[in-house]
Amino acid sequence: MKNIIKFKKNLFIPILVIFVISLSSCYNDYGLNSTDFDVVLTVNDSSTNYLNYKTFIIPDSVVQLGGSTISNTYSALMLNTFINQLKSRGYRQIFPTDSVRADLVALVTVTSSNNYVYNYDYWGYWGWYGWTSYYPFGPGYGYYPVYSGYSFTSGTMLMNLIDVAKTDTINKKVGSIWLGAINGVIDGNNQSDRIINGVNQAFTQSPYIRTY
Amino acid sequence: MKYLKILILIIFTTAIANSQPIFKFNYSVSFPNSNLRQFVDKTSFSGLNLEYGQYFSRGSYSLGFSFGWNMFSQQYTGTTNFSYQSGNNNLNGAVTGNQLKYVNAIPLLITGSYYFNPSENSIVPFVSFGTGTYYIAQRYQFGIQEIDNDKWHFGISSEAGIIFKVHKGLGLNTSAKLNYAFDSGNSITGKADNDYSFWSINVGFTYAY
Repeated sequence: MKNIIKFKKNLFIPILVIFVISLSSCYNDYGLNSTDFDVVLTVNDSSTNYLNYKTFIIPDSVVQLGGSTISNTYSALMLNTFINQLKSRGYRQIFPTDSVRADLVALVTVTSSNNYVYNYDYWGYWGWYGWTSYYPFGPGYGYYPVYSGYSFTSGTMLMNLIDVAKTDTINKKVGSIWLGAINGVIDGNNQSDRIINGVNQAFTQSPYIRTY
Repeated sequence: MKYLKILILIIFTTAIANSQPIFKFNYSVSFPNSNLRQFVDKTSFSGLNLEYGQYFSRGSYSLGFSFGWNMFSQQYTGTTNFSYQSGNNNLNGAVTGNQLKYVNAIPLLITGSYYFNPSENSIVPFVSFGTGTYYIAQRYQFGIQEIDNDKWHFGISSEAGIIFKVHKGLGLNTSAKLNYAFDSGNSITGKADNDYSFWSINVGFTYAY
């Protein structure tokens, strides 16, 4: 009995130290669920005067990178929510059949893997839409200035506004004047609400996107 | 030098022979200071402190070990604006999402305490000083992204409190304690200045065998 008590006393301090150090792994989880981990990021060029733009054109499909797949329902929701926000800010939508060129090209992309979005290839996409003659950029064109080596993790929806007049055909760069990225909306529950809320939040963070 | 070592050993051995174990357990509420406050500025209600030592009744003092845990955490759900230079371009941005900040502070200290008139009074004031190491686990989480920065720091503490004797060998105590962990490496934001400091209000019990 005395040996047991002595044995327990000798172990008291080491057990106490291990117990206390293990507490360093304690973190308050705040009761968050998957939707609470969505992040909305926007980046803009501070030298751009967004009031100079009045019209935009947008493809009728979402570009899917890295093997990502998204249903037609959610693709349509992304595009329509983006279009409605631009219209609410005073921009007029132009279509390829119109006789005038748009000031801006609006693009929606989804990714399913880690990507440094600095330069990606629109070849198949542009060719199908027949825009290579309408817009002077095509395969292998990269972006400037707002992309600059961002890394977007899986399940990110990207919205892009491109100033056609800033296209650099020599260096193969298109002029991105605004980026909106919504991380986490491609997977999980309540995707419709999260897409709508994410796009709306991106525009809430971007009050400068307007024609008036 | 040899005789000094022997003298210290004799004093220590004699003291041990006239000592008895003392144990303290406290619940701790903590308030961040300085760099810690800049990262998390909320009060911590998650903390505890344990002390185990030898009480030397003739000298009214104790020597022992102190172990603690204090978790600071804060949630921020607003929008953070930022700006940066990319080549010749000035870019602005904003990001919205759940930001979670955590600091787990684990002091592991050698402590010495002095008790004022412990035999005569039922209310015994005391002061303590400690030195040792602090394990600081710092975490920043934004959406699904997470950054950890865990470091060992050299640190010190000072404490003043009162023990209310309720029974032979058993007392209730309350105290105020200052913890300070010196710089160690860089902070989670890359700053070289990453000392940590926090105040604690402790309530608990003391038991001397």
